[in-house]
Amino acid sequence: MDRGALFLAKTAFNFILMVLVEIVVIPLFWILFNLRSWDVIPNLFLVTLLGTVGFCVLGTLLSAVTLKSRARELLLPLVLFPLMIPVILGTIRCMESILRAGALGDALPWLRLLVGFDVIFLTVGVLIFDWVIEV
Amino acid sequence: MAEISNASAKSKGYLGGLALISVLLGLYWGLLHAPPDAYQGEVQRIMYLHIPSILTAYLSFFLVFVGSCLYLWKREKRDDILAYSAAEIGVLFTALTIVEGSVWGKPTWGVWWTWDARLTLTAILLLIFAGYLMLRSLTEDENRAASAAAVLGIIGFLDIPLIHMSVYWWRTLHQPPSILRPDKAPWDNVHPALLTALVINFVAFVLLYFYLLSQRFRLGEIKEEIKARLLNRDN
Repeated sequence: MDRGALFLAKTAFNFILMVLVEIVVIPLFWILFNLRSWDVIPNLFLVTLLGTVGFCVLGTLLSAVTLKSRARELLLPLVLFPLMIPVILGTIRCMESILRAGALGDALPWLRLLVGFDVIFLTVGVLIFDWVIEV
Repeated sequence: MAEISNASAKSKGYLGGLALISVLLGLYWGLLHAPPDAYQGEVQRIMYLHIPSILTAYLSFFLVFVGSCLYLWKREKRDDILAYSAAEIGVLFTALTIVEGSVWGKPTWGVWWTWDARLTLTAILLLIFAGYLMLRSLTEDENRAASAAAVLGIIGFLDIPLIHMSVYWWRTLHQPPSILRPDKAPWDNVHPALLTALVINFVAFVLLYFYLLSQRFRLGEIKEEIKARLLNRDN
């Protein structure tokens, strides 16, 4: 079987799970904090989706990398967090800008960075997964 | 076999001697010969170690990337040993850079550490490759560890420019680079006396780096040899 397809399937599964949670959680914030600005949600959601893609791609890839090691529950976040910095910073900055100004505005480079990250690591993941899960 | 290893030991000895001489020359040039900086005074001399050590660390992580790619492609043990050795020495040089930077930062900025862009970037680099070393030591199956680490080495290296950009768009306290600047050649920006000292030290660090790398690489080879012999004896 093509391992790249396996990688995409695993990533898609994680992605769908996270998006389901986000669909519930994000409007919940608006309700609980009694916010009126419902119109920013679509933009906000778009950014969240891009961040989620990056998170799932790298998370799936590295969970397979650390699979056979001892203390992998400890090792995975340790390895994952520093590599995830661009996604975390990019998503936070885009969200901040949308929440403050209602539009991306200055945060456009961050959005490009997010898209770039997603594209690069999705490609790398598909290409490299062959070697990640070999016996 | 013995002759070959003799010859390589000899050339390694020359490399080591050359590294020693150039490091001493670099120290002399940096500490005594070059004039103190016009604004920062004597403390600026740390730069002669600080910049070469981070540049060699970057070189090292590039070698991790090259070794990892070659290993996944050709499956030769020596590429894996190269990646492992380079990662270890890279972590060492990154840690050294942070220590030197702190020593310089305290008198210059007034703090040992601050969450400035470049400092954060260096700390993240250290974390990534410390994670790489941990992954290697925590995976028992050798081949498995080698290919997992190779994948991590490739991902880690490809992530560096992205982390670089994202961390850079934060506000930054560290002065903009004075050597690798897009708009000015180094010799227009840095006084020649200072630049000479820096170049000498850089060459010294690169020589030292390759000496350490060759020693560490040999150690990895010896480990493999011993393992192979033990396996033969058991069979």
